[in-house]
Amino acid sequence: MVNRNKGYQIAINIVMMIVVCMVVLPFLLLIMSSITDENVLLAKGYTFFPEKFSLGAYEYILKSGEKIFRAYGMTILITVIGTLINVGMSALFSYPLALKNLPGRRVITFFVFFTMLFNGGLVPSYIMWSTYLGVKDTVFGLLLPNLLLSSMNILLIRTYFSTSIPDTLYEAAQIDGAGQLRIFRSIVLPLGKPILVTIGTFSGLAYWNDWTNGLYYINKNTELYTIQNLLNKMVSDLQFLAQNATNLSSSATAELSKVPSTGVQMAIAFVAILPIIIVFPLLQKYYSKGIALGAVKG
Amino acid sequence: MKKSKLLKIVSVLLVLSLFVSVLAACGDTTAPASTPANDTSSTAADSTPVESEPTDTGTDEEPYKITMAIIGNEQPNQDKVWQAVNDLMLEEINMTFEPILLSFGDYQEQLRMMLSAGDELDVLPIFYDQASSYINSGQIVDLADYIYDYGQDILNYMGEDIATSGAVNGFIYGIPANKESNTRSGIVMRKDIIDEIGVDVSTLKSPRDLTAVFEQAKAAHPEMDMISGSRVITTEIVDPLFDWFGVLMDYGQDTTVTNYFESKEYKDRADLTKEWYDAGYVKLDAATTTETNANLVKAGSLFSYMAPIKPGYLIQENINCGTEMVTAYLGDLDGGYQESLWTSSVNFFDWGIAQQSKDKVKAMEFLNYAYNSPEWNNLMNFGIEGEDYVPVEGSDVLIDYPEGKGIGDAYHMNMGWMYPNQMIGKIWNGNPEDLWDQYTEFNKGAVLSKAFGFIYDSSSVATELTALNSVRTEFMASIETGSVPDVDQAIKDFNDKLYAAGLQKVIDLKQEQLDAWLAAQ
Amino acid sequence: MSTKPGVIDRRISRFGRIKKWLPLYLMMLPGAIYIIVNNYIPMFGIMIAFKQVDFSKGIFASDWIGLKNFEFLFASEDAMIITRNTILYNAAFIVLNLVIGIIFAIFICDVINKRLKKLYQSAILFPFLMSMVIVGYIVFAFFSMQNGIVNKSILPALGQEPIFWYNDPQYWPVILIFVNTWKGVGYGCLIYIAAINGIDPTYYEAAELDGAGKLKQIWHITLPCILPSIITLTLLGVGRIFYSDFGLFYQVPRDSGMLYATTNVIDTYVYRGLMRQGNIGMSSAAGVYQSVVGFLLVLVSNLVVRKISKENALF
Repeated sequence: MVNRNKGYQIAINIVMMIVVCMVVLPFLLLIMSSITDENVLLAKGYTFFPEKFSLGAYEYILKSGEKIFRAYGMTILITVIGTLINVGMSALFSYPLALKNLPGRRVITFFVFFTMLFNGGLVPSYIMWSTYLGVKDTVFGLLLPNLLLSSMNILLIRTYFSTSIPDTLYEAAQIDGAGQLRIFRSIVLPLGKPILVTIGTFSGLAYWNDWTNGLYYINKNTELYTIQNLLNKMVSDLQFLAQNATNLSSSATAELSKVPSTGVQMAIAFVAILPIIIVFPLLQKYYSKGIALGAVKG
Repeated sequence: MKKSKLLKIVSVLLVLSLFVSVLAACGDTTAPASTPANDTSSTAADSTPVESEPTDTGTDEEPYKITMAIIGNEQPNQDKVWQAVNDLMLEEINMTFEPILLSFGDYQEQLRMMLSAGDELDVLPIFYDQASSYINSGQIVDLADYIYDYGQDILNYMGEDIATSGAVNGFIYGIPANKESNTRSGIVMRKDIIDEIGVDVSTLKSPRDLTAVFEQAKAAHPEMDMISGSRVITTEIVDPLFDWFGVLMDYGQDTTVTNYFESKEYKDRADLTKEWYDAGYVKLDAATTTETNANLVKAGSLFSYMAPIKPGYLIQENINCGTEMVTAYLGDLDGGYQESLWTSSVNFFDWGIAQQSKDKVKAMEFLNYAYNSPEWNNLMNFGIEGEDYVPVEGSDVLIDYPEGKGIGDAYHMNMGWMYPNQMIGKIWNGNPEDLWDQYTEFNKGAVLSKAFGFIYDSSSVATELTALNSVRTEFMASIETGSVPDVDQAIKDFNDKLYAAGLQKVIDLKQEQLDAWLAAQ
Repeated sequence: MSTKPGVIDRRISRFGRIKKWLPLYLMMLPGAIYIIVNNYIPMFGIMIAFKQVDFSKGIFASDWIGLKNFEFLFASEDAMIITRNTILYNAAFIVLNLVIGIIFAIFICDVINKRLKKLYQSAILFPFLMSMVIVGYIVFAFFSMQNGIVNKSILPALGQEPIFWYNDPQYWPVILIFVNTWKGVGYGCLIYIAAINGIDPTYYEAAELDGAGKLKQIWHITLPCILPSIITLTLLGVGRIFYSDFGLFYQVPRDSGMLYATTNVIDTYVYRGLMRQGNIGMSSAAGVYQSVVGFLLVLVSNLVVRKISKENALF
């Protein structure tokens, strides 16, 4: 399938390089803004070539030290555990759905799909998790609500399984007398690796970027805050101030003016993204095909 | 065929949901075991009306736990301070204390969730614009049932007028925090530039007087923006009747509800702003920037901004701006001004009791205590004496950081305006010793709006208000920063859209309720 | 081919059948329980849209008020513009993310150099990592009227006058669509990459033997093979056609009132209208409205897909 035509290779590489530039430049701007001197940033605006550099924003982050690092730890913990459970549960759920003669297949697919369109809203969901299941102010508050399983992921994996893994394979395996779990483990998982890694990436990013669970389910126990919660709190405080500046009594604005400025937000955004930038390329090798289909078939 | 399929789908869903409701029910019964102390069935789903029969207070009963939502940033030494508050309350009123600290940006969302789900909560802060929604959805308690029996000290201290002024149709939703209520707008300018161009600040009376100042300052510092803010001119000359949709003109002395945005006063203000914008005085991005004015001044790109000013204001602002500032009170565009007070300025911030509070009488007794205990207010605001603050030598009321501590090292919530009663507490160093007297004077100097104490019941126009709010955000910032190309056209569009969204209905409603209210006074 | 029942099926007894499928249903159990707890039980909240909720009575005991909560959605004379914006933007997003996503996916799969391949794969997903708030700052960095890179460096270099970006709605459809594609294309792209990687390489080998060119291979092998993924993603997009990324339409244009003509969508309208009121009935009504429309559209589209090719339908 790989086309070795030289002109074609050059052309697609050029196109993709342009894409890379379009992606990288804004990142560069983000990084530059985070190391631009605060006053220069406000007075002169954002630029790729700041007049004056300053590491003030990062010093600020380091000063609040423990908090940031704890939030980091929390984010990593939640992301790793959540992603593993997510991928596991999704794969287990999607594989039967991909079998074309599973009784009730359409109904169950609809059952999954329906949740993508309709939801009861935040309050009922909050009542469910907080009041009945008691996840509030615990790690489970970050882990369980909404993110543990995504209907979208189930449907995507199902689609992949049903097209990329031939039916005959299952039948062959069954005639061999392989148990369903064994088929799942030794055929479906290896063959589904590309999509599972992809879904894992999405799920991981969803956990990494999530701040809503922290907002609603972590109230008193702010030690559980993730890095996104810290960032989001700063941003929402700033917006509140911008919207209410003229209404608020001045002492309130005094308290709010301690909220870090744009440069620090940029720095925190960068710090929040950094680990992913490092980990991401390491994941790349899994995107390519797991094992050759032919091998199994033969 | 199709029907049967649908039937099948529905039946499967039903069976599944039945199955899980059983599961959930199981979960429900086992949950309390894990959290023994503070579980209840106080959920929105099955809230039982506990309020009617308050339990009688015995002498050596279990202390009641007050859960109180407060707004602010996390502080150093916080746990210890709150433990001290807890100990104080246990000793003085036999209650324990469980604060829930919410941040400015998120409190609204988080409180809404807690109120809706029936989380444990007794006392909560209520900003004036939330009251109506809380009342309409039954999330808070009418204090009229409690304040006269259990809040006597509040009534005595604040006076019944003020204490019960946070009321809609007789439903008292909260007690106002005791603070300076009369905030008058003024201009805050960089002192070095004012000195440089030689302006006598005392001659500035009206926003119009600023044009000349800006002209000189801009000439001296062409790289600087003269003024910024999402509303450039902030002087208020009307009683906004809470939401600006139908106001009382003439500082609330005229009892006819009118549309402010159609008035000559509004047009004059917009014209002046536009004049400044066209002359290059207003920051181009004023309508969209999220940077605070103080930060912009600090960065050297802004000369001045308008703000509500009160005694002691400059001390704070000098720190925020990193340079010395000067202020001048400004009146309306004609140079006139009348100190005035309206319901929303007094009731900007109130304390109320949540519907799910397990013992509303206790909650009221707690408020009664909090409004009258200097120790409680001091602890909440400034922390523990000796650790977070020390008295300033030679003064009874002034306090300051202890030796070797500063911002960020000690508990310093410094949100006196939010706590029930800062005006019986200590005063931070740098302010005048008679700050509280100045505040009282400040409040007394104002003329009350004719509609003072009136809050309209908006429940029947909720639909119109959503559309109106949307129209207001569309036009207000762009008109009031001068960024619109044509002021007359923009104001006309603004008003057309307001009326299309049902402004007249809101105005009529307000007028009707106001007349009834005035007649009853 | 899918309609052909498994050969084994017919041979085994009823008991055997249950035994055969039971492990599979058990595999689905954890996921099913989670979906019921997390998604289905809270759906009782949909009734809030039809009630005047009074929390002192509880949600269930509150009064029914019919469709009153829905009125505000149509109360504004902008309702038409808002609906139009929402639909047009979403249509553009669906099409662009589909076309560009597939093109990039094919390109990336075709790159021979392994290092570059990795680079492209990472790069395309990076914008996904940035929150919309930060994206909003970056867009502001470019288009700020006073300090923006465009007004300060690019336009003067071209000898053009500065443009008041945040005062003029005409530029924003382009900016918003660009930002959305920039940020979102990686998602679909990764799915397509996975799908293309799952294609049996023998197909291509056979095609190559037949002398089929690149375009022909794409048309006859790649696209048909990833068609199920395309349909799934598109149908999901259609289902959410009345929803919009709040951050994109609120944070990126910085809530500038003068841009509403091209930036106001249902979600931002609801947010602005209810920001101060916090009316739970109305906000839930908005959600129900968006869901019902999306639901109907998906049902219809799915029906159409079923008519054309049964095995590719979503359900």
